[in-house]
Amino acid sequence: MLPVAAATPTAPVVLLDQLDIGRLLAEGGEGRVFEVGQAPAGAAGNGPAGPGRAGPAGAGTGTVRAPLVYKELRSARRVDELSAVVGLPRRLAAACPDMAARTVGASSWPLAVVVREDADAQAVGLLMPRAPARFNVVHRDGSVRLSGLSYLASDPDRVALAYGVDVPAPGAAERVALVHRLALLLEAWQETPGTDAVAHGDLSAKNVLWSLGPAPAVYVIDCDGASLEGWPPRPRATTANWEDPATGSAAQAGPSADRYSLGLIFLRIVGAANFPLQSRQRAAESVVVDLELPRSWRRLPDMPGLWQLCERSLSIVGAAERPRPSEWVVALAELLEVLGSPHLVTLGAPGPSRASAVPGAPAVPGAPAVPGAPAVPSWRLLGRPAGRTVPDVSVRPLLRHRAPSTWQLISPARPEGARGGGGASSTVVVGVPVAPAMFGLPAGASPREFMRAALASWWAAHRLVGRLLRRPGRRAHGARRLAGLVVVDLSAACVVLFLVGMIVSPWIGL
Amino acid sequence: MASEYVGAEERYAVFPFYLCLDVSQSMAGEPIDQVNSELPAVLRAVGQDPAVAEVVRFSVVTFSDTARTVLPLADLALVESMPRVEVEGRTSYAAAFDHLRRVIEADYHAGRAAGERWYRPALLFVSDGRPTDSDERWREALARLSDPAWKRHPNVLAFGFGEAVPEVLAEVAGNKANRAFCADRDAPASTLVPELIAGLVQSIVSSSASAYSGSPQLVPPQVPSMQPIPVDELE
Repeated sequence: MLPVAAATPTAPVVLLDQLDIGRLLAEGGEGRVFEVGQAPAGAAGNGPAGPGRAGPAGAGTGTVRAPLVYKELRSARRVDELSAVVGLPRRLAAACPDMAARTVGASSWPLAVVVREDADAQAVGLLMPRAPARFNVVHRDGSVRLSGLSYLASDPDRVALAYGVDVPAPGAAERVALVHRLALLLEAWQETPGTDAVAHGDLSAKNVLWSLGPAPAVYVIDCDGASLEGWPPRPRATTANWEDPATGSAAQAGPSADRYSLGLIFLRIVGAANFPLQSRQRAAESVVVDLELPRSWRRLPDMPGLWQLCERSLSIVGAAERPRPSEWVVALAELLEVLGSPHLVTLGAPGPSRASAVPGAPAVPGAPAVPGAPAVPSWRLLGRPAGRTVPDVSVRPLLRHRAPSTWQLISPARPEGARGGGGASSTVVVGVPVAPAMFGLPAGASPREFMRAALASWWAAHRLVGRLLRRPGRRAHGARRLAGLVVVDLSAACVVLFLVGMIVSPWIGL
Repeated sequence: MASEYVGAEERYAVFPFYLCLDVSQSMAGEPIDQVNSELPAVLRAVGQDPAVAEVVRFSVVTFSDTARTVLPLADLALVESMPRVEVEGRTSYAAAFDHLRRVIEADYHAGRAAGERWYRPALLFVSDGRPTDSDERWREALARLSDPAWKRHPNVLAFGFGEAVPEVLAEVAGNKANRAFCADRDAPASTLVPELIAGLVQSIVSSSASAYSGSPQLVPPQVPSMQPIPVDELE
């Protein structure tokens, strides 16, 4: 165990020289993240809750069971300011232990401040827990990556084909449950009675990780840049495409920005689409977002309150009145009920999550009065009841069948096959069957190349159907594709039999 | 009140990158081996990062006596492996420029037909030699490629090493500051090529991030062994 330079009840401070710093893991605008070989005892104070880890906030045991990382800051920061950040879980624990458990269980909240010398007033870095292995995904090439939200904000078929990562279908209850877990975390940061609000400021696809095994969970990283209420505002770098247009990039992002991100993440994750929004919001007085949802949602009752939450979250005009995370917690718990997955509300969720833990949290206007009640056939396909919640954002849920995906894998041409080709592109397609012209098969491809591409496409289409049929939530899509393949296969078989018959019949005297 | 309609199925505009590699005889040996061993790094860094791959389209074109596309413009997330390039003949810049103009035009129309919106394409031109075709011929081809009246004309970043002529590369890059780079003649390919590919990857990743902001920029790479070619002041 390494000594702690200046342990205080709220924020351990660790000497840089005594850290066993390993390889570089990541590099960003605000610093570099390294592995740490051995953790100092004092850094265990906020040990993450959960199986196999230290207890909840304030239960420092002097040992660290979770692997740590060291973040080296590009610009030194004040020790007292970072100590206040590190001490958040203890303050939350004093006010509400459940909220502290949410913070340490669902975020890489800093554990200790790192300085060069005992008396330094400037910190050079922080020690933080490393994201648990369940928040990694393994690509089909064997590489291991953090499970950012980008995998969920894209067509699941493309994600499966490109990376070999299976994700739930758009509109699936698991996706709603992930946003629910994020709302629980933000509720802890913004609405714990008796504590000051905390703003992460950059809840982007790379900073919010997700996992569905064994239960839906999120894990927020890059928390050292969080802003604390009562401290001088500090700008933080934000991620383009996920930033709050009301504050802009590199601005001081407060709790309001995190509330914007929550609404945006709901739309992009549940809709499985990374649609452009912020530049439109900056350019236009108002935006109308058409959220496309699977037709399975037609059985659900209308939920104007849910869409109003989205609109209020994304509003720039009403940025000061964006909905509190507790409103999302209630609304998403009820959405999970009507989606027929009430078990996902509590499955693996830290603390009370069936409804908001915040006393007096309001019910969501327009939400179903009785969770789990029979569906009311009042779903509106186009538009919603008149009357906008905010003047600058409107969200319209639309139901439709998604067009079949046409993603395909591409293998480069063999060099010897294209020598002197003078510009013809050479592509071997290993994807769903489409006419060769649509694939861009080179003009003048040999019959052998054509047959190889066609056979590869045929085989890939069958593999894709098999994968879809094995994936819960995608079976209906797989069945439709299977029906199409059966027709194609039978037609091909008939043609082959006919040709064989034409060839063989003269020989047998017919 | 002006309203913008945002379809949740709508995608970001894509940023096409064309890597145009010189595969003339002078690239034989270590340079071409280094290129083949480093190209997969582009696939790992760009293709395997969902946020980058979504807005980047990448193509590899080689040129010598003639030019050809060895990797058609593609979403690198869906590319299984990078092509291997082989050494061929001489160094015809004209063949490269003419081919690129045809390919960019065709790719643009194919992309539009598939519902893509494009930012102006970027051409990453890498050569280790001086053009073997006549000055008049390659300059005419370059003029056709960079013709401002042609709406799809690419922004060019030019990189040279070996026998490449800095003045020629500067001209290829439109004589714009920080668009043409050249290495010392004695810089070894074993360090130069990995640095160049790493710089290109960094340029693509940074440019892709700017594409999300709605104000896309072609971010010049940092290649330690290469220095920007100064832009002449006109008399």
